[in-house]
Amino acid sequence: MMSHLIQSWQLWLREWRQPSFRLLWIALFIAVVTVAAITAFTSRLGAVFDAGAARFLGGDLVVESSRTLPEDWAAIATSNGLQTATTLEFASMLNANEQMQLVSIKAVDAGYPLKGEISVSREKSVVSDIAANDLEVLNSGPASGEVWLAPRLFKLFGVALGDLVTIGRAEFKVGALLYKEPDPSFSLVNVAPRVMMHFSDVAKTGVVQPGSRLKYRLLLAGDESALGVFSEAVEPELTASQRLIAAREGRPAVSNAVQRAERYLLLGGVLGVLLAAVALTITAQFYAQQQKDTVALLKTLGFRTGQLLRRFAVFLGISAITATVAGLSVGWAAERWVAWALRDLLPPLSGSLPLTWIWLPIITLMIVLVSFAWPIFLGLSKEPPMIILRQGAASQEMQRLLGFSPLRLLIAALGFGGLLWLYSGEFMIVLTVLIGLAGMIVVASMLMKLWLKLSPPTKTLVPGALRYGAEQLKRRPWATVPHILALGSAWSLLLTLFLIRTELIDNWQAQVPEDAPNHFLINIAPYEVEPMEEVLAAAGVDTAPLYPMVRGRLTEINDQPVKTVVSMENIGALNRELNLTWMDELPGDNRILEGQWWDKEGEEAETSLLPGVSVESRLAERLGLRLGDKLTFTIGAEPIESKVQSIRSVQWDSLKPNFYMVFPTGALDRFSATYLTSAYIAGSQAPVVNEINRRFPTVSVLELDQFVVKVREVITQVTLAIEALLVLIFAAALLVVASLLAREVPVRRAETALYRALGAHRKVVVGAVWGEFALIGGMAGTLGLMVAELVAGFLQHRLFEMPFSPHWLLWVAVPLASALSTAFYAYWRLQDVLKAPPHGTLQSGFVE
Amino acid sequence: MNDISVKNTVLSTRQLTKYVPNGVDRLEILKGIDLQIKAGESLAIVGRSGSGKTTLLSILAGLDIASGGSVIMMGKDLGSLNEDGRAALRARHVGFVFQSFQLVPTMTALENVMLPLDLNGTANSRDRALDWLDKVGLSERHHHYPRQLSGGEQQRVAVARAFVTHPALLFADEPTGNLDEETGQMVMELLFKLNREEGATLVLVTHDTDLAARCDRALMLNHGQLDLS
Repeated sequence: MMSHLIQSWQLWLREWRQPSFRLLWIALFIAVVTVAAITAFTSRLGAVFDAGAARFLGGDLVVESSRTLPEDWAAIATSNGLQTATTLEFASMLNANEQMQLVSIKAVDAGYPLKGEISVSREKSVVSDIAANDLEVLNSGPASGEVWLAPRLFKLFGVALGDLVTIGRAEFKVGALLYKEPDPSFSLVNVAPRVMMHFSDVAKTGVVQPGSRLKYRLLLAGDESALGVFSEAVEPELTASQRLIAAREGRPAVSNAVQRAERYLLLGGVLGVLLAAVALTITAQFYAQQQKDTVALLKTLGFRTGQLLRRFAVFLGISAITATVAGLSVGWAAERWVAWALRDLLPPLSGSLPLTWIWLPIITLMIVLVSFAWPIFLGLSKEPPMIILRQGAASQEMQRLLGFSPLRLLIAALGFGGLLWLYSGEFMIVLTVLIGLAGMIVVASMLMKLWLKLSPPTKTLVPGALRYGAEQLKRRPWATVPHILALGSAWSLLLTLFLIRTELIDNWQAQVPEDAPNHFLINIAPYEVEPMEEVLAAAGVDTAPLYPMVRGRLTEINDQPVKTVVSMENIGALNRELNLTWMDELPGDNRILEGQWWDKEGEEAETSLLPGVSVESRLAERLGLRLGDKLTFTIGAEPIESKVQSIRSVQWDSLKPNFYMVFPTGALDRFSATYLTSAYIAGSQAPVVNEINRRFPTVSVLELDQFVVKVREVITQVTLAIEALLVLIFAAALLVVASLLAREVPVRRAETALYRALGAHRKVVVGAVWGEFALIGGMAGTLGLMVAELVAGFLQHRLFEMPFSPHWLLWVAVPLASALSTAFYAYWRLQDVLKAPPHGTLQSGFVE
Repeated sequence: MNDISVKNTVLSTRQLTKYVPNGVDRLEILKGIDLQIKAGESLAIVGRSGSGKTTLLSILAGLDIASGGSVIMMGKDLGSLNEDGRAALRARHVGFVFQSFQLVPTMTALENVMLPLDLNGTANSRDRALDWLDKVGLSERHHHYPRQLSGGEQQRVAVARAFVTHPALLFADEPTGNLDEETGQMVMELLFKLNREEGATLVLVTHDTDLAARCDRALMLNHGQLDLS
């Protein structure tokens, strides 16, 4: 046994002397590094996102209720080692200096905050005076007897720190200016500026009465298993007014960003693995090609197929083991380095990496070896020696042995599919990427056939270098096609990632730009619309359009009461009133998925029957609505009937007013409406808020500042993560290109030397190299971009729910960049041959 | 050396040496070679394996560079030219036949013969190449790839490629080394015949004494030196 091992090792070491074998090993190593680094990095980032989302929610898990929560729930949590905090939010009037204002009160206990910090100022009460170092970052809420007020309230009441204010029956001292809380709420119900107080003070205000609109929250933090135990214990006891919220589903704006980023990372991982597989396949082919003489010789000497296969198994096995050990070490170091390099930008990483980090690269390697490399060696080992010996590398027979037969393509596709499935578990990603690549193979083969039929370019029309290059390409189509395919795959994978990244980041930035709406103005009466527009215009504030809003309840679907047709879990949405609106134009960030938006003229005829309604897609799904369904709403006491005319997707994270139900103009004329809008009010325009409060006392101004800042923070983190991933993938793509050209170098050296011996001027040879590789690069770049546009467009549409448009600039830039970089790399690899006397190179002859 | 002899001399060397580093020492392959080759002459360089004859041929043809001394080809000192200068000289005046044929595997027989013409930008390269393939008896097989040709046929393609530019100097390195005796003989007949017709100077490296005897002159190389005996 031992001697077998030693013998295998010696055999392997001997093989190691061959450059092509070392290249194969490097490809294995890269595959492991890529998968390990990406897996480790993704899981780390996943943890970072969870931490961010938890901070935003206020805990890893939250129980929300409109009534007091059972006390034993907190006890269950504590006994499982979870940290807890309780908060209560309600609206009340705040009195000071003989003025009154509706405020949103958040009462917090000693455990608050569980995640993140509260930042306050105890020195200054005018926001514009506050410098960064005036802010204190605290890990606890106000003491009993004290309240902290939102900045706007100081101005509105003319109060200063230390003054007294009244809430209900109790008096409180103003302890601090509340600058930032870790879990700001954001809803159209919560319209008033924030006041924070201690939980134990709630009772003495006497404000909280049965029937008050309350939001109790039990915040929980701790490890996943304890949270799981808690959820299991509590879930069966939840009543209709209570719900469990996990960090990820907390806020649509944040959770959407995180979910997209995670899908993106997953996609990045998948493409990284694919690139590694492509590199491995190329190098395995190269090595097998180099092995053909040895195999033939060994066969002549009487080696049987089984013995040859054992020999290759030893080579590949030892390579796989050594590459895995080396790759995992480097992958681990890379992950540490990235974490270190981003330490200022990401929160500290805790805990150990999941084991997927180790087994995923190993399984990847096995799948790649078995489905991509092994069939090549199998083919080589089975052939009679003379066939192998007599065939040149470029011959079709050799291509059959080493290249892509239909069966081998099928095995490879199955391998790819399995690999992607294992990695992502996302059927859509796997299918799209595979179809994209298969499409590229078909298109490339067709293009090559077309290319071969074309007559050679004439001297007068095409510059010399390109002509030589084109001739070279025509001469070796069966060597060129795999090149273009492999290089094209690398480009397509890289570009897919790049395109989605660009769209993703642009999309986020478009949603939360510097001037994203930071105030909502709601409850504007119809007669206030014009004066409000004047006030805002005078202050130079840009607003979204003013949307009318009528509150109504959906009571019947197709003449059946909703309670009988909608399942219990989905009925929650209908228990409260929905905001109904009307509009002529579809908002820019809404998209019609089914049916048609109404155009102004055509609407007249429709309204004579039943007015149409456009329903938000997720609500439609939950309620099982289809186009043409008849919906009955009750507004006040009066019913109104309509039919579903379109189903619409809505970007809930756009920070603009969005509606579940949209009617055509005129349909709701009978009902009294209020208006709402959102606006970006810059710091310098702050007085306008006070003016609005003064002139329109019934209008509620909802401040979103903190919310917007939070969303931006998360997006910055996610963007960084995506960019880091792109760098990793780019490195993998470069390695594919390098291994591809490395394979070409020996043949080209021999050819170049011969040309030189025959007296070719350096310019001619250099030109031919540039021309040929520029053409290969250009074709690969074009194909890659084509596939990337299609795949990215599809994924964007289906997975990321974003619109897609082609990138015309890239259609120039990518083929050009690909052509130049490929040609330059080839030139760089061959330049010593171009300069040196040909004698030395010629002696080694044509390596096939 | 009078003027006429200088004029007739197409290739000459003076104190030509070649060595390669060998650890701390150096391995001397050629030790002070002096020779003159006249236009139209056929010269055989013979010697045992390792005597340095292929190295000498490579340096004479400008495929390799000498460590010392000088090589004058067609009146030009090869040592004073850079690689491109030597390439230009080869393109104009030199043809080669190699032991291992050195045909480009991805080109047909015709394309291989056209190659030097195309590199020189010569017009009618296709017709001229077909002409030469005809002369070596392979016009029927011009569209075949090297792997579809036998060794003798491949070498005949190489011969056609060597002559197609009408070189003043033809270098052949063991041209029959990879062929059986009969095929080798046939290839050599062809080589000498064409050489006579073209009036080229032939420099031939071989260890075949019969072949050497057919040349005007034979030089014996022994341990890197010309054996004048």
